[in-house]
Amino acid sequence: MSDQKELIAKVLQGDAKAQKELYDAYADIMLGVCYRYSKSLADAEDMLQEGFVKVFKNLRQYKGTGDLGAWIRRIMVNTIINEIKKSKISLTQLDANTEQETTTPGDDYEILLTAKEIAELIKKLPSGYGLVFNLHAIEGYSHKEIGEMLNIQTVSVRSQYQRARTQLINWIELKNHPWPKNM
Amino acid sequence: MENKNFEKAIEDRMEGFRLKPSDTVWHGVEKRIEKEKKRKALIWWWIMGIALAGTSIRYLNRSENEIQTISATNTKNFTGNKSVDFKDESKNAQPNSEDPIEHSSKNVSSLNNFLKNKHHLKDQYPAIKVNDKKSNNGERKILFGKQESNYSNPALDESPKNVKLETIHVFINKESIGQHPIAIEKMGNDTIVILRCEDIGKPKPLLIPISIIERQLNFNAHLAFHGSGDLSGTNLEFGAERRWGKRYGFYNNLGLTIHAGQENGMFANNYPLTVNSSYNALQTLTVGIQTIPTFYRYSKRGDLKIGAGFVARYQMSSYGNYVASSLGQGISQYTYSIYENEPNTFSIGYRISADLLLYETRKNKLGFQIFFQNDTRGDVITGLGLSFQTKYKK
Repeated sequence: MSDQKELIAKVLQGDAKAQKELYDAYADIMLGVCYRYSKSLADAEDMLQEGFVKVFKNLRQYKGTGDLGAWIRRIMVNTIINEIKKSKISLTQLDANTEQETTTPGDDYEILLTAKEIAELIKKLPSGYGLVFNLHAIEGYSHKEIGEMLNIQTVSVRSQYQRARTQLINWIELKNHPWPKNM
Repeated sequence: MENKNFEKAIEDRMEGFRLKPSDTVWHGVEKRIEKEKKRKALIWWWIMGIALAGTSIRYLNRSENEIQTISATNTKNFTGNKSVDFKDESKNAQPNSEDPIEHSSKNVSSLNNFLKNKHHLKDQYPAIKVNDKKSNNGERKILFGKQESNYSNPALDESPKNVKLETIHVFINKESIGQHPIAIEKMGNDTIVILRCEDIGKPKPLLIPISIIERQLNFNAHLAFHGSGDLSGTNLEFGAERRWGKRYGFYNNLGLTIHAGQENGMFANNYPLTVNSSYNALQTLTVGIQTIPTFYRYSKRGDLKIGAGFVARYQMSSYGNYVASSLGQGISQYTYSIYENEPNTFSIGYRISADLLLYETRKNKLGFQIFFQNDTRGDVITGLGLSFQTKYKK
């Protein structure tokens, strides 16, 4: 922890070596985050670059109390949301009243796919669905928080999430069991 | 209500999902951080530039306006007159022995010349003060005092009843400055006149007729530093200057800046090298064409001028590669290629310059010039050089 404080202090002093060290420590995991939200690896790298510029610009605001990784991740997610908003992806294309039938996996539910494969499936979702799914299922934001972040109604977030979830479960099931169970 | 098993499974699986970014991401971040640093530095330069310009102008204005004295020449006979004349004892004041009252209706054009050097005193010195009682010999001195507390006439403070205000026609060196309230204090046989500075009012210096007295061509050559990052180079300028009066000039010019050097963060492999070869990454070269209309203010002796100008600049940046392509059997073909490494830009900004006269003949002048310029592209250029000026029309 004291090493981390020292590293942050050096970064704030403009030490280029410390900046690179901080970048190396978190770049891989943050690219994993960006990748889930973007259409391609190149887009994800652009978001990563933008996010890290903001991290270095705002590092002075990091109080040192919470986990630095979580703080950086929050900046990344905010950057991603801003980028997505800029690209004017429609986030409200789903009628809020369209309730989707929810698939409920059992307690022993197991995913046989790798993280990369799951990320690819999330990316296959329509942009709005993928965004909502990432924010709720993986980042842990509530539907209300997501609604506020994206300026859409909570009910719409919930609907989009349910639809995304159902779609994903179907795709994962298909990958988990490529052959019908009764064969 | 959604069953959380699925979310938990997804979260567990995605935890620690990593991908290795390419090196270009870090280079991009590094470059942006540098740019941000420059931007912050630029804000400071702007603040310093504006402060410097303000200070210079203030200094030039102040140097010619020292504290000046005026003496009241007719205080003894004042009471019965409808006007009062003060004698300006400053260096430039012209002695005048004529009776001031005879000239009370004269429209004196040189009034502005007197007042233009003094109007700032209204802000600096709150009142014109009576000097003291000791010099009570019929010719009282009136000073521009620094502080109100410098006022050294205790009688006035103690006996305000002896003081009355009367609006009369005021002259300075027999030159009318119009009707002003005058404080008149009776002290035995003496009459003390207190002319309050705020009553004088500000003249309009711009109404003073000025004419072009000189036209000249200027050739400037500078060593220029910090251009386009931290590159060094040169600045060449050619322009024409018109001087109005002895103190003002307007200079318009066309300039060329050339800067070269190895910039940090520039990598040859960012550029489209398609040959399997060895290469030498050459220097970044920037060429700027600019015009800087500049207003000059000359010092009293004319040997120093401070300029403030508006910069309009078009800049091209390129990056050269010296490429050796192997043709086999130890034979190489050398190619020199230039790539545009940034889009050409148009920027605006400001320049502050100072020009010190080193040598002067009847027609020509040679000066030492320094300048600092800063534009919206983020470039800061400082220059040191020589300025050659030749008159072409009187």
